[in-house]
Amino acid sequence: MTMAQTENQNIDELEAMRRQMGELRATLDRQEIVNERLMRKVMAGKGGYIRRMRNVQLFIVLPFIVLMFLVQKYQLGTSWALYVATVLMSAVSVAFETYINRMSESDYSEMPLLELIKALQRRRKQRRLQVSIGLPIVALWLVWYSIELTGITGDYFFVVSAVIGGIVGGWIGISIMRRMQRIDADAIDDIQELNEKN
Amino acid sequence: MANRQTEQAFEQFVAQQKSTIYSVCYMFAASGDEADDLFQEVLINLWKGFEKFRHDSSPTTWAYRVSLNTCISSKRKKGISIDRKATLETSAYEEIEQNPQNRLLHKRIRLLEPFDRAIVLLWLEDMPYDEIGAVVGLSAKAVGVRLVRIREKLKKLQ
Repeated sequence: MTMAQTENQNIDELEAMRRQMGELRATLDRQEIVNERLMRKVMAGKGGYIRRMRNVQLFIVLPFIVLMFLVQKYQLGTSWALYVATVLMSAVSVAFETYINRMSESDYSEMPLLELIKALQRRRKQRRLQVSIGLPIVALWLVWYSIELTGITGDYFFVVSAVIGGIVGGWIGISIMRRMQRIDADAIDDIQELNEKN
Repeated sequence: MANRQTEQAFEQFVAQQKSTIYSVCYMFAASGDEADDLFQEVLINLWKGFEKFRHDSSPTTWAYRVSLNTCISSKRKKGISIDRKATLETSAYEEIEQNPQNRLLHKRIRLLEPFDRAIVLLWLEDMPYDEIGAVVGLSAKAVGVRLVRIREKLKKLQ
């Protein structure tokens, strides 16, 4: 086949796709794709999941941690150093989480596609960083916490509980993170190719 | 809180663009449930941005931009979404799939990576290269080069 024939075949195939697309659109035009129920649901939708989670962390979880560990400090006699470290660690974690998820779903939906894909890749890297730094810090904190409580109560129950809690919590946290990374993967796998060719 | 006028304007906008939006969702979905979920998510994002839409592009271009971005960044839900009760009893997807030409088109386009899929869908809409570029974030020239590669890729994948 000559180049001209190949080019003509390419054009014919694309024109065929265009005709198929036209037929698809005609089919959709005849469909009642949207109904009143759907529109009510769409327009009644509140803020996105990510924004709700951010508000929960900032206004419920963090104040709860600050208060709970302060009460524990006075009731059990744990150290100020542990309390300050706990509050700082929680605040930094919430701040970083807020930074990673700073853009809302509607912001993502307005930007050029290539920019969106790069933003998703940045978010993926930031989550990886969050886990790689956060997990060892939490593990160290858990050891410190269980040692302090064991020292105060003389009971190794806290060490065992801390180890079990740490393993379960760590497994859950990593599973969630891996799921989130996998979900982003489809969209951003070809970013390397895009960067090379553009 | 949005007023009734905005709601009516949005309903009219959706009625005009529904085929555009659903065709994008169809091309990014592997099933009717997924297409319906994506469709609802796109509508939600369109509603959120509707009052801020400054008409610096055509409504169709804007609908494409939001639809493509939503479909590409959307978190895929496994199983049937309970929100499906808010849509129709039977999906438009099933109706579309009855036509073998639609199934063929769907199959060919889904062979492509998400970014290339977006470019092809915009090209099939007869959108000029500079407008495609504005939606996807490439220059008009880069769009042209990209389309040549996509054509070659489609030929090899067939």
